[in-house]
Formats: sequence, structure tokens, C-alpha cells
Amino acid sequence: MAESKERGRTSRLELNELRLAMWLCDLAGSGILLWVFWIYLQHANALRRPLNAADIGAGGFPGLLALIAIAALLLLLGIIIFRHVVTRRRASLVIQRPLFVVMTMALLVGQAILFDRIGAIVCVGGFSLAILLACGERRPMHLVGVPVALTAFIYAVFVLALGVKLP
Amino acid sequence: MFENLALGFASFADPMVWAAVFFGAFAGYLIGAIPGLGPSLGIALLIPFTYGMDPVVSIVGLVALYVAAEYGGAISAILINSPGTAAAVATAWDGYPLTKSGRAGEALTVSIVSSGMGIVVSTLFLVATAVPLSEFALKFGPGEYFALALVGLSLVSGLSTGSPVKGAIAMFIGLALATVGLDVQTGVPRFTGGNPDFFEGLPLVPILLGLYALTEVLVMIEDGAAAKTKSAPIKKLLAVPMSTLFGLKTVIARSSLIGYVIGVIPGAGPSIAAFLSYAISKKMSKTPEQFGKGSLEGLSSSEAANNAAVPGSLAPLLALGIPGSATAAVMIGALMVQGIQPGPLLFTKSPEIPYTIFASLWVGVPVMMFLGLAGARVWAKVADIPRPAIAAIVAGICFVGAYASSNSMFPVYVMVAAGLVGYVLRKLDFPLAPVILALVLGEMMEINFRRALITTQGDWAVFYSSPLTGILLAMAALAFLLPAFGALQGFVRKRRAA
Repeated sequence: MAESKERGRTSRLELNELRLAMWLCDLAGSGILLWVFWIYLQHANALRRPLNAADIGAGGFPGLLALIAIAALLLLLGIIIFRHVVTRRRASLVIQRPLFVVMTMALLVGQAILFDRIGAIVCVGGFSLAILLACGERRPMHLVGVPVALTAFIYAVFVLALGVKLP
Repeated sequence: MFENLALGFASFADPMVWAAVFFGAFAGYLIGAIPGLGPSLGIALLIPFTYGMDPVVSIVGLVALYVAAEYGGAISAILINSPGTAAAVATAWDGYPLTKSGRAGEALTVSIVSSGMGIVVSTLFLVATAVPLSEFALKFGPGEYFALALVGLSLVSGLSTGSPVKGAIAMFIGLALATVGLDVQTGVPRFTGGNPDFFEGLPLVPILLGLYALTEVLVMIEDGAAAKTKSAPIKKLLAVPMSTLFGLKTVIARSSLIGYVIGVIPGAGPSIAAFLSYAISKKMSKTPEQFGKGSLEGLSSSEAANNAAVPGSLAPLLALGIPGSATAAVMIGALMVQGIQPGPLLFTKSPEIPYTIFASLWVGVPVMMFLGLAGARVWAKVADIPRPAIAAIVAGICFVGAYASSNSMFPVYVMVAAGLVGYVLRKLDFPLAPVILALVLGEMMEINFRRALITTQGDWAVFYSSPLTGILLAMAALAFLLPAFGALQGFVRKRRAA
């Protein structure tokens, strides 16, 4: 009985927390940034050459910037690998309530897509309720009160006071 | 100077300016008292409310918010040992022990008075130094300007928490984002993917909202509804004898000076000012053993210094157009929304703007003290507002604010993208302040960099032949090299010990 209780607690903890090896996340993040800056460098180099010989042109500054950024990222990759190999540090990147974080990210993207289609006021009201739920709020008064108060506040300030034409 | 100061004070003949001070201070307390939210987020969230407002009114409101938010952090630090801002950490060391011993009211009063006096004294230094600094900056050529911007960026990136290499990369991300749009000198579209929405560059306000506010929403989702605080009851507010406050005059004066000087240095800011001032006050105190156990001197030194750093951070912003901190960078964004370009020319072209800011810092102090003391019980309760409600409110204001910035959906998409990328960067320990600072300074840096080369016919010696440029570029390099060297030294020491 006690064992099953313990197992239940562990599985709940696993759902509530996502632990990833920090060095792997760092490697992935730096790798993606390296790729982004490489593309940026290609685009910078493809920009038109300047007519004035003394000018470095539209691509000069971004090109220089990309080269330094790539050098810094290679240095960072080196540091990450060196630290992992030499110190064998086992730091973790912890994301609490990962499912809800991903869900909220999807909510934010969804709100951006629907904002001008279903109207700002409806959108803000509906999505604020969804964010409250994603954040763990379960009290009915709060679930009703916050979206209503927020939409009323936004309407009063932006539409009535500032004259913004919301979709 | 006195004529211009009179011009600044004359702005307060408009009742709307007073309303802006009250509203800004109110919003600042609200933001500052909630642990985790700070002045940067507060200003970013308030920018959308300033669209269409008179520039003076909006700037006065934002300055009042900046100052009050910096102080507001002390309230939750004193009452629930949870500093609302990083700068209030040292405040909690003595503030919370005072609360535990039933002296919360006394702690709040001393902290509010010290903060107010810190701002008053520091603004005196600001008025005395900003104008000569701007006059000196008028002599700068493009090479010097490029180097100066690079120093500001490097100090903020190099001194930010975590790895200096990650700080540098964050700076490059911001600079790269600043190059998106039509090239200012040739009109060539860059990194736009052919989309005309990008031609004017990435909009600053939505990026500020995304990086500061939406990332905070995602962090609040991680904490969930379980993250609760409970404030302690406040007794004997205003029961502090004048002699006690008067006895702190030396501590306040010294801490204000420290705060101002640290505030001027890019990358330092209120938290370093508070820690340094606390350490010095402890060393100079007759009762150092009381520090950390409820010392009024400790509390006063931390609060006077962190608030004095606010006018300090405005000196390079107004006189040179270089923001020295993330909050100052957001402030520059707010000024740009109003069509105001900070820098040396601001003092000659539109003196009413900087001098109204100076006047508002002084005028704002009694308002801030009044609101702080009269509403102490309310601000204490603010820290108890459930996190889910704050997350929902912040997200809602962000969406409407981003849309209202240009009455189109493009800024909303930019904001959401900035929020998601910002969250990932934050989880990977990349500081976000250098991204914002670089985004703000990027265009100015590139223009001056290219201008310097064009005026010297492409001679790169322009960046080291002038002594000032050479010194500034050396400082920029040291800003990265010194923390990196320190980290390497620490690593070697640890290896030897192991």
C-alpha cells in the first residue's frame, strides 16, 4: 500500500516536472543559434555591394556581426563540451508543469491567430479564462471574475479612453 | 539651467501631468510589490496606455512608475521576505527581521523616507552632471559614438548574471534583430524575406512586451497556483520618531551618492548599488552586529542607494542616448514611441523634456511617499494577488497593447514570437537585457560605424587612433575579458581543490 502510494507520488512528480540534461540543452540551443547566424551570414553576403568604395555596404555590418557571433557560439560549444568532459557536472534544465507550459504556448499562438478573426474583446476574455485554467486556478469566482473585469478594463481604457479601434 | 528647470516645473501647471504622476506611482507600486514583476515589465506594459498621449504627460507617468516600482520591491521584501525586485534583496535582510519583531510599520516608514531622500539627492547630482555630459558628447565623432554604444552594451552583457559568452551572444542576437528592415543608408531591404511588414524594422514595443511580459506569463504558468504569499499585519505605521529619521541622514546622503555613481555606470544599476552601499554602511556603522538582524541603518542604506540609482541610470540615457540598464532601454523605447530621441541634442532641441523629467523626479517623491504610506496595507495585500490572475491580466494587456501600437496584427505576431523565443533563451540562461539593449542601440551603432569608415575613406585606424575611442573599445573588451578571466580562475581553483 505504502509502496503504491510512493509510486503514485513519483509519477505525479514526473508529470509535474521535466528534467533535461543542461549540457545537451545548451548544445542544442547553441547549435540552433549557430545555424541561424550561418543563414544570416549567407544573406548578409548576398546583399548588394556598395557603390561607395569607402562604405562597407548594407551587408558589411551584419556580415561582421555574424562572423563574431559564430566565433562566440563555437567558443560556447567548446566550453559546454569541455565542461561536460572535464568536470562531469550534472546540472539540469528544469521545466515545472511542462504540459501546461506547452499548452499556454499553444494558447498564445492560437490567440494571435484568432485575435482579428473573432474579435479582440471575445478573444481576450476567452483566452484569459484558458490561461487561468492552465495556471491552475480552479475557483469559480476567479474564473468568471478575472476575464470579465479584464475585458471591461481593456474596453474602457483602450476603446473608450484612448480611442483604439480593436478588431 | 535655472530657466530650463523653471520650464520643467511649469509643466506641472497642467493637471494631466499631476494625474500622470499619481497614476504612474500607483501602477509602479502595484508592479513593484508583486514579487517577480519589476520596473522593466511595468514600463513595457504601460507603454500601450501612452499612445496618443501628450509626450510630457506620458514621460512623467513613466518616470513616476519607474521610481515607484523600484521602491515597491521593498514592500514585499519587508513584509514577506520576498523581494519584488532584485534591488530589494538587501532590503529584506533587515526589513524582514523588523517585521518578525512586530516593527513592520517602522521598517516601511524608514524605507519610504530613505528611498524618497535617495531620489531627491541623486536628482541633484543628475541635474548637475547631465548637462555638462551632453555638452561634452556634442564633440563626439562617429567613431567615439560607436565605441560608446559598444561600451554600454558590453558592460551590460559582460556583467549580466551567468556566462559572459552567453551575455555576448544575447547581445549579438539583439544587434542582428536591429539590422532587419530597410538599410538606413542605401534603402536595401535586409532579412525581410520580401515581406513589406519588416521594411520598417522589427517593432520595439511588441518585442519588449514579448521578452519581458509574455516570458513572465510562461514562468508564472510553471509556478502554478501553488505559488502563494501571505503578508504580515502592519502595526505602528508613521510611529517613527523624527529623531530616528534624522539620525539616518549621513547613511542616506552617503548611500545616495553611491547609488547615483553606480547608476551612471552601464550594467551596474540598483541591485549592485544596494549591495555596495549596504556593505559600506555596515563597515562604517557603530553597530555592525545589528546588520542582518533588523538594523534601520542597513535598511536605509539599501533603499536610499537602489532608488538613487534610478536618476543615475537616466544620466547616460538622457545625455548620451545610451541606456545603461534593461529598464533604461525600455524607457528609451517609451521615449521613441513619443518621437523623442534621447541624446546630447535633446538638451538643445527640446529642453522641456529632460528638465520635466528632472522636475518630475522631485515632484514625484512626495506623491510616492504619500501613496506608499497611505496605501501600505493595500500594497502589502497586492503581493497576495493570485499568480493565475496576474498571468491572465498581463497576457491580455500584452495582446491589446501590441495590436494598438500600429492597429495591425503584425506587432502581435512579433510579440508572440519574441515571448516564445525569450522563454527558451531564459531557460537556457541567456540574459534578456542585452538583447533589448542591442536592439535599441543597434541602428545607431551601425550608422556610426559606417559613417566613421566613410569619413576616413575606409581606414580602420579610426577606431584606435583617437585616444577616447581606443580607451572606450579597450573598456568594451575588458567588460567581457575580466568576468571570463574570473570564471576561468574560479574553475582552476575548484579543480585544484578537488
